[in-house]
Amino acid sequence: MTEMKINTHPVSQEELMAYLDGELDAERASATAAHLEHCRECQLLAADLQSVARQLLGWQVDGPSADLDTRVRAQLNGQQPRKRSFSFTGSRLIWGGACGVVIVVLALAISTRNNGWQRLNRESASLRDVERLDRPRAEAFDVTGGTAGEPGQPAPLGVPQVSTPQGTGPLVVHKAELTLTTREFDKTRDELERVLAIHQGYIADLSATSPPDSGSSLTGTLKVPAAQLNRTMAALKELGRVDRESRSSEEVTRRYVDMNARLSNARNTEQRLTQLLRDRTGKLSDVLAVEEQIAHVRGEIEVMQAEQQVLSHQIEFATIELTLSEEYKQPLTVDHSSALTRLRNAAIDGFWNVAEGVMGTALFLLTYGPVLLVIAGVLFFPARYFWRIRKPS
Amino acid sequence: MVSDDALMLDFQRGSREGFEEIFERYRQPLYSFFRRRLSTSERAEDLTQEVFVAVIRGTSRYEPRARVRTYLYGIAVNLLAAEHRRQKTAEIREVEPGLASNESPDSSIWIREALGKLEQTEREILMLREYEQLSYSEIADVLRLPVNTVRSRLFRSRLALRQYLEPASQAQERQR
Repeated sequence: MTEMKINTHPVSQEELMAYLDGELDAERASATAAHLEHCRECQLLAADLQSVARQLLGWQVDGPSADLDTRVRAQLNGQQPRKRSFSFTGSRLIWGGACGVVIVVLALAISTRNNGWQRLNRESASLRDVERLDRPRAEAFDVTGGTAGEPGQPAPLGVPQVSTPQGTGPLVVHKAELTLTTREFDKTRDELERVLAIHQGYIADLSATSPPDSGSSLTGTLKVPAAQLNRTMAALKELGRVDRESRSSEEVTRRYVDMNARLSNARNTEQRLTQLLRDRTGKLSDVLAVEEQIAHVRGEIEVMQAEQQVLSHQIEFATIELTLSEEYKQPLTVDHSSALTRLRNAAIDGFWNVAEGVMGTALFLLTYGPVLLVIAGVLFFPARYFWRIRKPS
Repeated sequence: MVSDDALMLDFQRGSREGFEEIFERYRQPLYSFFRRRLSTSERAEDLTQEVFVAVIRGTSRYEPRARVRTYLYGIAVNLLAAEHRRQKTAEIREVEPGLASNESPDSSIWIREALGKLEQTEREILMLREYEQLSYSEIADVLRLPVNTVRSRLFRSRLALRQYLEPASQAQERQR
């Protein structure tokens, strides 16, 4: 830490600190500022004090839960606030014990059921892994209660109604690919809409083609609640013959938690800067610098909020890439024209073929004839000379 | 922007909006005040609630002699002191364990450890200044100390903290 002798400076160390804190009156502040401009020792001390303040900013805390608002407003309304801390009285102990027993019994029952399910379903290893990751999130992301709006009408991307995953266990983004072949394309397409409506899914992207010489096909991106993925896939597989199926999952728990932490931190910083702006009176340049910093932090917050919503949506809604093809059937065409007409048509075709052949030959000769004549003329005399030499006399 | 005093007087006259605005302005700062000094977020929320409950119950007795901010932090400091007495644990233990931090855990630990080495009153003065952004006179009102004492102790605590944080900053420099 920088040491300085008081008798050599017109301002004391404490005054210098008070100046940095904006606590000096105007006269002392201007004297201190003038001294600080040319005193290297005081500049070092000021830098040390500011460094301490900056380092202390590294300790940020999270915000209170929404429960606090409820409790305080309940008190404002004259109700008794709920308090978290309570003593274990006799009746509470009994109720707590009974609840504990029920929870343990339920957990054992669920565990036994899951073990049986695993024994019965011996699918491929990759599919088993996907199922294992899928099940813990099923409860947390079960949106059958309509968290995103009306049933069958999930909120589009970016709309704040998208609920934030808050459960325990891993947060997983699910993806699946399914290629189907069907005999009745139009009917299957209607069925597809029905399956999505049942499972609260929706079509994010769809394109269909019907070329004349092959069957219709459809490629689309479907979004279904993660908890409904297994049931939706099973229902889709009923729509036709499965040509290809793949599943993948990506755990994003760490990414989600990091994003939340960064967002919370940025909000705290913004609040702190706003408080600073509100409470402190300083130089105009300082105020402008703080305002600029607030604008910068606000921009970062908005970007992070958008990223968080996208990630939440990806977690909440699984993606299914669906390809649906129609079995192509060659159409049976019958020529109903008479034999005479067919002979006449054949004769006309023959005539046109001869005419096309003659015309083609004429065009070839006219196009390349002159060049061929020149080449023949050039080669004629050397060829005749060699012929005479080799000819026995 | 309507001043805190005007909002409190509005609330005293029966305006619910006055209290709502005060609550909106101070819920986070007061929660942060308790959160940095207590080991659990639950207790921090409970005590934050207690501050506003005290405001609601004491509305009729409120007199605008001091700033609302000082009034609120005065209640908070009293509640914290009562909490410490209740827990009968060392002050330093209140600062150290289980503090939710969204910053880098390393820097947070260094700061908490460094603050824990300060004398209790000096630490409180420093934290009220740095985290709650109270002025010298407000700190003096809240802690019932002379302003000059606040200033000298604040200076002393900053010098001490600079030394305590030195190893951390050196370690960070080495890492860079």
